[in-house]
Amino acid sequence: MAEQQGGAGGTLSSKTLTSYLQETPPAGRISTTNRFAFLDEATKMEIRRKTLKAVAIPGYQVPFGSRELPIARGWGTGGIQLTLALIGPEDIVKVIDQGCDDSVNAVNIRKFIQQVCGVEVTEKTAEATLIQTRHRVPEEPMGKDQILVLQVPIPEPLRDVEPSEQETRRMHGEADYSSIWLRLYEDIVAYNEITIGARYPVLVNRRHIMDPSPIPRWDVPLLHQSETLYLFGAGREKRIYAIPPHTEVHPLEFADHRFRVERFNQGCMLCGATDTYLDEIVEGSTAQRFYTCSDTAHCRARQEQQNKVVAP
Amino acid sequence: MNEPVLAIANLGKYYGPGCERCINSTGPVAATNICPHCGTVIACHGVTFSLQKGEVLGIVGESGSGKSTVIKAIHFDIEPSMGEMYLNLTIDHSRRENGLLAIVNGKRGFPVVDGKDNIFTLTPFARRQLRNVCMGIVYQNPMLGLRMNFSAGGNVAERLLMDGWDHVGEMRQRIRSLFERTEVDTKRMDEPPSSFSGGMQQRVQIARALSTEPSLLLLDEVTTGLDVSVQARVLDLLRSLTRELNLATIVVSHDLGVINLLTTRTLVMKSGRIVESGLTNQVLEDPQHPYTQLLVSSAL
Repeated sequence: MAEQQGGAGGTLSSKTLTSYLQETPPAGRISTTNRFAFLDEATKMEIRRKTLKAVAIPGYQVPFGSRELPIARGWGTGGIQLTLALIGPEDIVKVIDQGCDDSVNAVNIRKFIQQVCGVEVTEKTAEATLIQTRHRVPEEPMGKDQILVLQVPIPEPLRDVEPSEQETRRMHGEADYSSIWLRLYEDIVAYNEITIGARYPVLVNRRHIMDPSPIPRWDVPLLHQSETLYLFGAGREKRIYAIPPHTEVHPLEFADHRFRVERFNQGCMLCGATDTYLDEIVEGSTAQRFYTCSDTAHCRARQEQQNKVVAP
Repeated sequence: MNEPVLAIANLGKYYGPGCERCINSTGPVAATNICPHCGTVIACHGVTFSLQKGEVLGIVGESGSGKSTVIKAIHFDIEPSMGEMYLNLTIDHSRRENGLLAIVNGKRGFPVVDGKDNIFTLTPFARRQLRNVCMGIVYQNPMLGLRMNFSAGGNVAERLLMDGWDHVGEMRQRIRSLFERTEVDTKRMDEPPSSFSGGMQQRVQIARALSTEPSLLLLDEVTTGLDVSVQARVLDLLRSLTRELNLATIVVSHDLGVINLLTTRTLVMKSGRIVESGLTNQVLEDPQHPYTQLLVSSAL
């Protein structure tokens, strides 16, 4: 490292990532020069292979060798590795964080992907071929030519009820899911409803219980029999799993306590939508509550549509 | 004569490397179950018995005689080193055909239990299904059998959930009737069992064991550690339940009073072997083996 810094005549932090990547590496190391999509080919191959396995067994968590990235674990490295392994020069990428295209996390991941792949980026869901997201599924229906990559903090749906990884693997293997059902039962006994907001456990393909990543309950029905391939990557926990198109995905529920999505009593204050997932905004001085669409790109498109209609 | 519900043949459980002289140099004659040559623990060896429907079998013996090992092997809590186990039951699959997990937990994936296949050779998954549907166990220590951080009702609900119940109202009704039968205060069904007395925790365990209407009930030192008046009530309950439900039951105890009260047939174990077996009153009133004689004379 010291040699490298001395040779380049500056500190690492003063250089841009691109110049670091394009710099001639010391002898004996694999070249990083002009490498498309940051990861080396062997890594990409491994991730693709694991992704295929995940698609073949819907909802099953496939372990993979999560690589170091210039982003800390827990900041979407699982999703980034999936994106980088799947991306081609023709792809158009969209990155969302909590439904928003311009939050710090989304902007930086998008910049990084652009820098190491040189691909086109977009904010429009319909234009994108590869969408990386955190905590939301886009409102706009997605098609069969698109892939949604979700960043996952905790891939194990049974983690809340069973701390041991060895034990949860056995439970998945034997479909021993009574403890998570019991958790729902206890919720109903205590509160007369299931109190899980995000990370609502789902049964995939009537076999594996899966953590759909911290998407709100609103998004869970979108996973069922969808047109789109959903991929889930957990970088810190080193797991990949998938919901292939046209797969049964059932949220866990009881015959007398059905799964239900969030309800909002008002529409979006910007576009007036009543059929989208809304974020609550509390104004500091008056403590008044407003609601806006969580999916900002979708909200903006709607507003533009409305403006067009108003001003011919 | 009917086919036995449960048959155990040549059950053995060994901890250690094992050598040729293990079996001959342990047992009741050698008065040890640790091989002096290689240090292997012969927890039990050559245990063979069968159980009819409605029959209550007692296993009696001192600490370390292997009686708990036998019951744990039957409940698949431990993997036996050798031996065979056969179950012959009729199972009602109607409820499990519908739930969300029907494909994995339904009839199609369920092991056949016609008394022809050795149950110990089944996959862990099949054994777990079998255990949930056909067996109920009550441990000496309620911490083993109950989840202390969930409610008492939840502990019973867990077994029902495994069995494919998907209606909270129906489940609570069933739990309430089970608690009424086992004399647990139904007003306290949503409290954690850690707040219950020892006797009540045992009764919650019994309710849990009976919730899926199993054909085989395993009782592992159920009354040890309870005071005498509570013991009497729990034993009373168990006696009436086993008669009423016509369950095949195995009672493990070192207490000859419990064995005398509950069982019709008894096995006496010592150093991992069965030393005597027969009708309970016969074994207790006319013991043949020196160890049984010692046991009876020291107890009565």
